Amino acid sequence: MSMESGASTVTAGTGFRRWLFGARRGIEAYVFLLHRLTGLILLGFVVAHILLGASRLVSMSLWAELMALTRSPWVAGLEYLLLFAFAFHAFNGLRLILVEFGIGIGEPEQPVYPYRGSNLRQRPVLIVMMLLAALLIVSSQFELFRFSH
Amino acid sequence: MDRSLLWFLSIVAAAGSLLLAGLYMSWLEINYVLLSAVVLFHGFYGLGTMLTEFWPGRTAAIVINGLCLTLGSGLFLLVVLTTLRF
Repeated sequence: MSMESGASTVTAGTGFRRWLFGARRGIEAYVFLLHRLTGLILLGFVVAHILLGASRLVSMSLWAELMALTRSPWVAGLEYLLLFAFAFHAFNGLRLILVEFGIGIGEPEQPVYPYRGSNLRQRPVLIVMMLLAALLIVSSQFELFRFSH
Repeated sequence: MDRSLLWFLSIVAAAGSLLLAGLYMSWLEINYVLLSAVVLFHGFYGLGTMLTEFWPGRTAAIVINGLCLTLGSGLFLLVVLTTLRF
């Protein structure tokens, strides 16, 4: 993040710039981006789910028509991908809560070269959480396989 | 208005909501409604946070958060109505 002298306006730390040009802050910047994108996807699903259910308040035929749309392979594929978004968002959210409580980022220390920021110190937590997310995705494949046969 | 009165009224409203929920909804339905409330709050709070990063400023923050609150509350009302009706 850089600040213009005098004007005190943030030039590279907000909006799309923060989302897209975070490479210098390491893998965490992209995890941050993915967390937000998956959050938007999950919110979109929840809104669609509520509207679909509430369509029964309008008419049952409208609800039946909309339910027929959800049975298409495209929707089934998107729902399958939703599992990935959910697993990632849930476990990364858990990591953020841990970091919020100061767990996994170590004690404050003197800045001695080569510097080791809190990003690097909490990276093992990130790796563990991503492994747990992967485990959830893999284990749920068995559940999906069991219910589809 | 006295704050202690507001606190008392909020407790009465919460107790009344729980009583009504207990009378008209099953345990599963209460869980569904509560889960919907949590998810909607989390989702729209997050959306509001993101949007205020794209459109900084006090007025924008008020508009964005007001819209998110309205949308979230509206959807929650739909959840409650749908759950009570069906």
